[in-house]
Amino acid sequence: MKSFWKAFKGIYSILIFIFLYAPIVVLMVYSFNANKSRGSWGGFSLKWYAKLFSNADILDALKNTLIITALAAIIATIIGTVSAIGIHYMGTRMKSLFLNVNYLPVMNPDIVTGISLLLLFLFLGIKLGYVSLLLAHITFNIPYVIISVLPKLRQMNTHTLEAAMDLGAPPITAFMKAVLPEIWPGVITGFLLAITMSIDDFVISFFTTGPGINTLSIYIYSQAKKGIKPEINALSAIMFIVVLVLLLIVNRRDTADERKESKKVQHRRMN
Amino acid sequence: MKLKKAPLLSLPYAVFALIFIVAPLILILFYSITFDQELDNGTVFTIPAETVVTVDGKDYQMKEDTGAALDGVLSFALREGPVLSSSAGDVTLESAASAKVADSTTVRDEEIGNFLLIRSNNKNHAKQITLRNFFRFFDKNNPQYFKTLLRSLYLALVSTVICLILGYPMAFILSRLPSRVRSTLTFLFILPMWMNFLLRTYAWMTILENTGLVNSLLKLLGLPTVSLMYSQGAVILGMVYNFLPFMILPIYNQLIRIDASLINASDDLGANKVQTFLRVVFPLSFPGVMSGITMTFMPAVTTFVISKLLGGGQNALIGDLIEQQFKTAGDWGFGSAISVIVMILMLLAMSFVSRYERQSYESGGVLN
Repeated sequence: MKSFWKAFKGIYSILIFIFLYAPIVVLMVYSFNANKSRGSWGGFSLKWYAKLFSNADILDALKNTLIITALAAIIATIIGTVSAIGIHYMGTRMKSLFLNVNYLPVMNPDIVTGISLLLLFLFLGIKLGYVSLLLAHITFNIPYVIISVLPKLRQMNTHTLEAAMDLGAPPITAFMKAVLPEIWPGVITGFLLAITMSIDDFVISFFTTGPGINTLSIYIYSQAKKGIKPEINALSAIMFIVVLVLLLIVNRRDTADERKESKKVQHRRMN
Repeated sequence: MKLKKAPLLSLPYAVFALIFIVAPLILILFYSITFDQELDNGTVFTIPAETVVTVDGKDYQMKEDTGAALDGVLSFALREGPVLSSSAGDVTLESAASAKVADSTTVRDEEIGNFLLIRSNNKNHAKQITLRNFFRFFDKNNPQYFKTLLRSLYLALVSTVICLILGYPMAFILSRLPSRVRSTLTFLFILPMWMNFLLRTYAWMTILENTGLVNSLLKLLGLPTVSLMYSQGAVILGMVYNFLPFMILPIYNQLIRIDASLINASDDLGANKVQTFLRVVFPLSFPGVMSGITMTFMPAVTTFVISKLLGGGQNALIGDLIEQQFKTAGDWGFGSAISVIVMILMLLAMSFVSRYERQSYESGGVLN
């Protein structure tokens, strides 16, 4: 009975694992196929990678994605952190009103957020393009930053800030020295969340972008609708490797931080 | 105390949220009850497939490669309002069959694929406040829209159930592993989730299409090929594939939080493994199951990417309908009305789920 359960566990995990990875592996293998059609294997070739990097549309979309993601994440992190502090010191009623509004973009289906922003931009006469795209990304990023920062504020030792101010530190200095270090992990989490939301977003960008301005997601969508392009296989393979490396780095850093923390605790205990 | 002024720090965001979160939703509500009369009896330009349209100095040919062209011209038309006319300076139409002004009063859905519709420069169009957009959606004589909604709910439900059946055992297995193996394996299960959503869906196209991997293998074995794409099955597969990690993760997070002493106590008190699972582990993991269901069902109902890429035209979902109203048909009122209906449905579903979650949290401590 026990060995049966063990075997089942192993086989089941492997099956799910295959289900999750098979499509990605298939894409990666086909990206090296010299033949355009998937029916036959025409030998190993890097020509789709060469084509990918000489494709101005893809490079342009990549550039747009990176610029919008970086700008939106940075701006959203700053606004989100500052307002999280404000929200933290609010009365209960104000706080719950604020948080409910803040939750709207998180809860609403992306398509509703997308078209609502489209209607707003048209209503205000904001030209659809870079600016509208950036504003839309900032809008759906801020809530995630606030959600990440607030728990850290709750855990924060309130006396440090009061002590700093009692000792005559101006509010900005007190914030920089007493608050920011304490909530920093939350700020970083929010920033990373914002980056992932922005880089992966398709639906909201699709509705708020203007003619000729593509992000990678929009480009992939328009290509996929027409059928399968081998260059996209090459792009997927590269993106998968990039994601893998980034996640490994972040994971490594996290465990290193944890180790440092536990060492610190040990150190403190010893003293 | 100086901290009394601290709430003012969120004032900029309050203004921002009012403009970019609250106002857009009010706009949707407003548009959902307006009707542009012009659409009904005004003039509509239809541009035949071969026409070359110049917008902003760029030539778009209304032919096969209309993806960008249609979107480009349409966004332009939407942005600038109804400005297109054959003589206007900023937009020119050049074609053998130059743009015709058609007097069609209604636009049939089949036409949308081949023709571009742009509202005419008719200044005397009037906005009407009316509920007809909602009536149109629930029209008994023309139930296609309502049927699309039912189809979306049905496909999302089936996918959610499959995700739950596949995901719960996986989450359970993961939660029982020794902690070191666990973190590595969990990492591997989350990894595909970080791939671009569109690429993940696109990956299935390469496997399922008529000349794709499955059919190539069948051919190799000398078996007849099957048509897998553009079916409900393909849409469900795409949904399950995309949202399975969203089911596994919340359940897993809930399972690892369960106090091991509760399970030990149940064992000590003579319950067998199955009883312990059914009466201790599963009820305690219920909040995770509920949030897993929400996180799979909601995006599945409103997706339009999966159905567009894997489902083809006849399997359109409610998301496709909304997208179509804004991107091709240009009927914002109707599109907004559908969005309002979807929003209400989601709110209802969410309040239902959150009540369940709270209940099980409350009863979670007392195992009776």
